[in-house]
Amino acid sequence: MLSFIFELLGGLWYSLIAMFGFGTSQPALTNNLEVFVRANTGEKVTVSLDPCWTVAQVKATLAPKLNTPIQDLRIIFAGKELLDDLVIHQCDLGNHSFLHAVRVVAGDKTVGAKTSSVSIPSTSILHVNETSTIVQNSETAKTAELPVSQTPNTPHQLKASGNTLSTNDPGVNDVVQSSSSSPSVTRPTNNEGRRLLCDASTVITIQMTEAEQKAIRDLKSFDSEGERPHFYVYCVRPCNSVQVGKLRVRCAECKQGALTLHRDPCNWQDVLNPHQISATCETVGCGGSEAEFFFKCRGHETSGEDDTSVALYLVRANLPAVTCLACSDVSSPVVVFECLDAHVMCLDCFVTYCISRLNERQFHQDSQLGYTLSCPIGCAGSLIREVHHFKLMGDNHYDRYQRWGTEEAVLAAGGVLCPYPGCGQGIIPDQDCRRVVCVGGCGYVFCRLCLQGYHIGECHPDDGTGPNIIEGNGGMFSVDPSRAAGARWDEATSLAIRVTTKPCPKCRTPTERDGGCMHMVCTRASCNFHWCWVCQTEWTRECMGAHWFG
Amino acid sequence: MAATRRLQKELADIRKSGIKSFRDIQVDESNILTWQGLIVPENPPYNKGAFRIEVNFPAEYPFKPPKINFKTKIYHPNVDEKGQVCLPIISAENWKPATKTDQVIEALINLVNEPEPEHPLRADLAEDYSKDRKKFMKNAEEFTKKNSEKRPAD
Repeated sequence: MLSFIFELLGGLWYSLIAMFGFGTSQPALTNNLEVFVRANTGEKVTVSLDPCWTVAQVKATLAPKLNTPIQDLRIIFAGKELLDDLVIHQCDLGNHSFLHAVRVVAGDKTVGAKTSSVSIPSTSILHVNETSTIVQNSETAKTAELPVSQTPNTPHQLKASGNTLSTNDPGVNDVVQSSSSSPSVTRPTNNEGRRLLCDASTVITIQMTEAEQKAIRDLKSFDSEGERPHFYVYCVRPCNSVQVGKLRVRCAECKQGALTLHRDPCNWQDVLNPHQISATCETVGCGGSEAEFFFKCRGHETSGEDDTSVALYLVRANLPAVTCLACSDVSSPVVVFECLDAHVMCLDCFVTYCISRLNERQFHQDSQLGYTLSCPIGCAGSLIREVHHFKLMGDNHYDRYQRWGTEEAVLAAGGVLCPYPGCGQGIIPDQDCRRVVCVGGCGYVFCRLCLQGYHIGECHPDDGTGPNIIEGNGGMFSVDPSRAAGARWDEATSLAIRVTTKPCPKCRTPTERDGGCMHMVCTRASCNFHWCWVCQTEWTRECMGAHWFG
Repeated sequence: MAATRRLQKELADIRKSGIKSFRDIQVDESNILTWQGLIVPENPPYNKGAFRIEVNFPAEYPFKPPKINFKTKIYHPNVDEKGQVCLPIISAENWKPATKTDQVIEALINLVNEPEPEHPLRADLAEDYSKDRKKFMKNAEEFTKKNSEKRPAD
């Protein structure tokens, strides 16, 4: 029965669309935005908008498509109802963005007048939309096993699609009254401030402390032409780079955007952590009450509602024109660390910093945050909490970053890495067992203490018994055993490692000395042992006096 | 990239500052990572000459410290025979990317003027410096006159 109604509706829409000329493939203007409008009942229509239009004009376009009188339409975008006099280009809409339309019954204007001095009929508190009542009715009908009761609703729907439905239709009003005690009465008005999520003020409020905001305002008094504040995201696909981001919000429950926020987010905790801000979800049948924020990339045309990006909360527009601590240039955007001094670095230098630290394996293994870096000055509390910032290094470095991060996590958990060349499998063996088998990796059996092939008795790290698992003789050629022994790639690798490196006396990381003095610091940041290249023990003042420089 | 930009700026700043004790800064246009310059100390016995140094910046500068080498031989407890110098401000554990080259040079000039015998690279010179200052001064002055470069006229 319902499907019949929708088919009928659909047919009527198409005729309407044809009538208004929207169904044709030619856009009226070249700079028009193609925007999807999702009604809170689930229907989706596509409209072509001129960015200069006001919201009232958008409503006029939408009304016939959604078979709803203009005064009964509310447009919701990014957690806010868009008021009639707002112009579309102020709303940060992109091509293929989603707007949300909510149908209201403007029957009860008194409530709206009470709560809001700006009395706009469409923001009246009480709202029930026709389709929802039908759905509710049909559901109750189903439970009551009385399918016949759907029939009386059909005329409504037909009338609606013919655009002749009066809001004072007694049937509808009955429903309105009966549902007036429902929780939807608590829907807030958001007229005060009229701040949108895309407004510069929202960005500034979230990114900066009050002191910083004041400093910016003082600066701005003599520098009106400057950077605009933005959110920044890492867009994995298709941009694969840092892009300006758009803050958006959806219902934590049904993931739809038709919800209105009860208050504006005012810091990163509000945006990044769940359960911070309550909201009213307008999607029929959802009843969600919590907002969930997310980010979209502005660098590319959105490919749908799932096309989200990760916020890089350390990256900001450089409004106060702070110089980079490394190159002393002024550029924008910049990375602002979370230390007390809020040290600033340009993106280029940030990337160089990360790569040079990664090359030396000097990232910090934090039990909570994982493998990360502090501000280059080393300030307390400046560890980067969102590892996506390291995506800026590029894919190859990021892969290496992830692998080493995993290795450090294994080592921090008391595990070992298989020493067999090319393996490196992480293994967490029993605490008191010296014999380790590379389970799930290459199968190599090694000694936990000296990381050489497993042996009985004391470790002799320099006796040359490196990894050697070539056993048996399944070969068909007769090869001189000594030549075969000299031509083994892995054997050669481990030999090269033995000849050119010395192990850190503490963690046994093979270490190559490429110049400088004899004072070695273990290349693994989490070990950081100071040792003497000559004595292969801890670095002492005697080493300094006797053979500091060899 | 970051290194080049920053070094260009630092070089311009140092040249503009007209510092008397570090001058004649020569940088090959094709390689801004290597600087040469003349250290002109104030204190005896090194005020009898000038000393050419080379500053080598790594490609990762300023995230890794520069290295300093004396090209002119110097009789100094903190500089070894090969010209290597131990300067805490540019040691790996103390280095900060915000440290500027003029601060490094200043620290170097201070070290030349005021040797630190408690962190020596040449224990014999450090011992003389601490226990027999007269002998040290005599040797150092002779060595300076014989080996160092001419001080600029002004």
